[in-house]
Amino acid sequence: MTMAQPQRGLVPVATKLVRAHTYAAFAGLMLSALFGLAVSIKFHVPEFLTGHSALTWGRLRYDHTQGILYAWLGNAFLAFLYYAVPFLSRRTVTSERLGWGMFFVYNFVAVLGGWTLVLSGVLQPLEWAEFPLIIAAVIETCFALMIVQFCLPLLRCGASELFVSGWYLLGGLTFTFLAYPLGNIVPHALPGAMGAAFSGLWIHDAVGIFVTPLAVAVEYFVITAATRRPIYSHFYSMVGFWLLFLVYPLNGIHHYIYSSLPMGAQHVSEAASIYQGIDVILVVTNLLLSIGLAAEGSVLRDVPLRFVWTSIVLYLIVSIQGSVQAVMSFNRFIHFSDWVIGHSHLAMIGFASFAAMGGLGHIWQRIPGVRHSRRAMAWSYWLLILGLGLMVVDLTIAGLVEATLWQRHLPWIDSVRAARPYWVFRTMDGVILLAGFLVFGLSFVTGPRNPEKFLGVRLDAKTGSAPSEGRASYWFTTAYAATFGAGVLFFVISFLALGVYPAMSLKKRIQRSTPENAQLALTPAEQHGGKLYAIDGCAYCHSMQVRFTASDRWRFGLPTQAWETQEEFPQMWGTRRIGPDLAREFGKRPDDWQLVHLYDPRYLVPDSVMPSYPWLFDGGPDRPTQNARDLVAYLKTLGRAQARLTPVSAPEMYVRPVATGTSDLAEGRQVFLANCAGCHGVEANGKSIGGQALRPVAFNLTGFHLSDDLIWRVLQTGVPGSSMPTWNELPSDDFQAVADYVASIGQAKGLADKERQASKATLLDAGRRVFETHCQRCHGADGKGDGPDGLKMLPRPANFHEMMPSYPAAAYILRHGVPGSGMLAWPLLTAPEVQAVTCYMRSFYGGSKTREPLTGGAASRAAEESQ
Amino acid sequence: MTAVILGAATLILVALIAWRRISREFYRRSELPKFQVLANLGLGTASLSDRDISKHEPELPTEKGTDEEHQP
Repeated sequence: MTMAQPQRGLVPVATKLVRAHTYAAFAGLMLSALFGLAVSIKFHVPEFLTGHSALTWGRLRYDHTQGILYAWLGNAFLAFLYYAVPFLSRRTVTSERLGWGMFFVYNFVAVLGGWTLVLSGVLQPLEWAEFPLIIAAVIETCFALMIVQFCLPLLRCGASELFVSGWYLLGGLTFTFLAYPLGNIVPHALPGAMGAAFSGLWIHDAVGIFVTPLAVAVEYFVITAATRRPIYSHFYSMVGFWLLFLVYPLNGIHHYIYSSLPMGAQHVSEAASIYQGIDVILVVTNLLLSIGLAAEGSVLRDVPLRFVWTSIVLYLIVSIQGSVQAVMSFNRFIHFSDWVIGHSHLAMIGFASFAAMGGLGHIWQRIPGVRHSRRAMAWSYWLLILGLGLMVVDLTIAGLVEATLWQRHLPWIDSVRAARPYWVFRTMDGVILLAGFLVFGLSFVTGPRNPEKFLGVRLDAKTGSAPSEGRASYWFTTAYAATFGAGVLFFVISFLALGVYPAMSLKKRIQRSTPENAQLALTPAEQHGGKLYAIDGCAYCHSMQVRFTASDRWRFGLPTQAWETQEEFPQMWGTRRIGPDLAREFGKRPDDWQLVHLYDPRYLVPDSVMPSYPWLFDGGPDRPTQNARDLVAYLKTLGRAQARLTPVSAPEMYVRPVATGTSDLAEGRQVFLANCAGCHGVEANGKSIGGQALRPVAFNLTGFHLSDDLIWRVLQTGVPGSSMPTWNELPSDDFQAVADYVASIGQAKGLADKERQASKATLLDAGRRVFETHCQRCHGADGKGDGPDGLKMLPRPANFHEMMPSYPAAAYILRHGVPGSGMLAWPLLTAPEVQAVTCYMRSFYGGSKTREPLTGGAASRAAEESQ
Repeated sequence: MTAVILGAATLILVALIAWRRISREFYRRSELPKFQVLANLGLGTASLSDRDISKHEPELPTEKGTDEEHQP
């Protein structure tokens, strides 16, 4: 086989670079999709790949999105650029040698280097900007080189003759170069809310300024080349182009609606988002008319054109969806849920990837000497349509379910349980998508081989001139140049309106509103914990911004104020809630709960999907490394400044005694298993792994009669000083049911005559003496848990007027103590003394003693175990 | 601020649309690039007439002999 020789009069296309970037794009697509699939599996198999920090959910998720953006779409667009720029400009790209240098730097330094550094924990927790700063600098350099490589020949072409694809390429590369530092560098210099304003710009610009223009450029190019007809209206295609670049940068802050960012900036982003939808309708109408007028069935026959047609339709859908999501009343409901994940997949696969695939498929059919299989590409199209359709519908429904549950007074974990089936289904959809990508790649290496020939653009392909060519051309060039300059100016305005203005406004507000004694500074250990929090992607599941909405206030507490965030470098507000928001985590959980939860969340919350972090421990939850301690120290700073300034209000209490035994105990057991068994154990005896790792250890509910008031109070307010949280999020029926169940499982029978060491009167008298000697200082003279030493303790010592221990349970505690509480072991007490003091303690009890025990269930087994 | 920015952008574009409706030359020039790219791709003629460009729904004559470069 001989290579075709260059021909005179033809501008060569750098086909080797096209091929190199195409292969790199396919490799990037497969790896990025595999990262995504692993992330998806972890939602329903949380222990999948948890052995090493490099494979934790957060880091794989970072590599998934960065891989799609740079490894897949970046390379695909570069391949397209090398092919299309000569056809658009009738000029070669600036330098093929520069192209090869850029190819190696982009793929082996930026992409592979970025992936590797992220997996090893060197990264930044900024959405769509996760590669670390050193990689960000390399990518920014590559964008600059891309301008040299591609924009110079396009500019030499002359503005008045430049096809709209060329304009999109010019705009995409130029504006991305300008926007990239805003999201990747500026947030390091501006903390919290101020940094969030800039992050918001980049989150949207990554899609709107980089991906969208290049994808639309592909669409216009492929439509023209495949239909062999001019597009419907070049003028309206330019109107759409200018509107995109004028309006898109104004969208950014719509990711932080109802936050503490200035409301004016939020309204700008909302209005611009709606305007953007109108622009997309214009662009899509022009594109579809271009296909419709010319295709005459070619959409069905030409598979790359079919990809492009689909991407146009999905561009319309996803853009209108995006506009609707930015409307504040809807955003209040749907934000943070899987709906948004469905939206982003529709954008990045349905719109951008389908356009890129159409572009690659189209040019591959024209690259000399390569194989291409139309059949395989057609198969990949249908696999991708199926996988994407199912995924988007699935995630959209999941988002609606989650959002609905978040509006209701339900425990957070209920939304996780409800979403789990959808996450399983999402993985299945992901497998179909992966198969589609694989078949798409196969279509590039199978099938008949294209003939070897020289691929180039005719230099004499110049349309004729009208008499007024010179003057009109001058005015057009001037007008387009002025408009392009205005576009850059407008970008600067958007930068000022949505970045600088909010930052300055926030700075003033922060200076004005920061309380004098606010404790904002972090210790070195807390700062180190914050870095650990960032590198494992915690903020990608747990947002750190309580919004100014009713449901957020109810569930998480006071909305996050701008002044609270002035030490957050960089901000980690997040745009997703798989777990609850953590902005008000201060004081909610004791350290041991946090540690056990980090070691294995399912020890305490059986239905949790949070990853385990065993590498932060030396083999067990009670052996945390310094990293684990620092991470917990950081968690305890979240909301600390606000909490210490806000007077603690008395918790709402149920004052009326509530009758128990009115609900179904089987239902109560289900509620118990779903919410309580993680710590208290399935048998309610506190013997679970997680429960025993807590300090104090989880309470043995089977060994005590508990008064109704105590049960209700503990469920309402938790137990201060322990890991027992409040459960007032439970629906009232569930609350009643679990309270009844807990009341029913307590076993505190009296002694049989043959077990009694002495008469009851003797036992009481002896028990009183033992109590006064050993117990009174903490439990109080009357056994109310209010002794002088006990008042200094958290949790408070037991109040025996509300709980009556069984003889075995009391004996066990006296022998072993309650680790993590003020209750010590009393091994020197003899068995008769133990029996006597237990008898005395039981005599205080004033609650119900006549509950029916469960038959054959947890209670009886626990009683046997105690015996 | 928002209204001014979006309003100004809209007005400029409306003015351009109106100009295009009024001026034949503007119309011709604004549609020229879509024919130029066809010629670049080897799918159209290299000598377009004013008549071809100014037709609202262009029926661009395709010269089969120039299609070679862009055929699979």
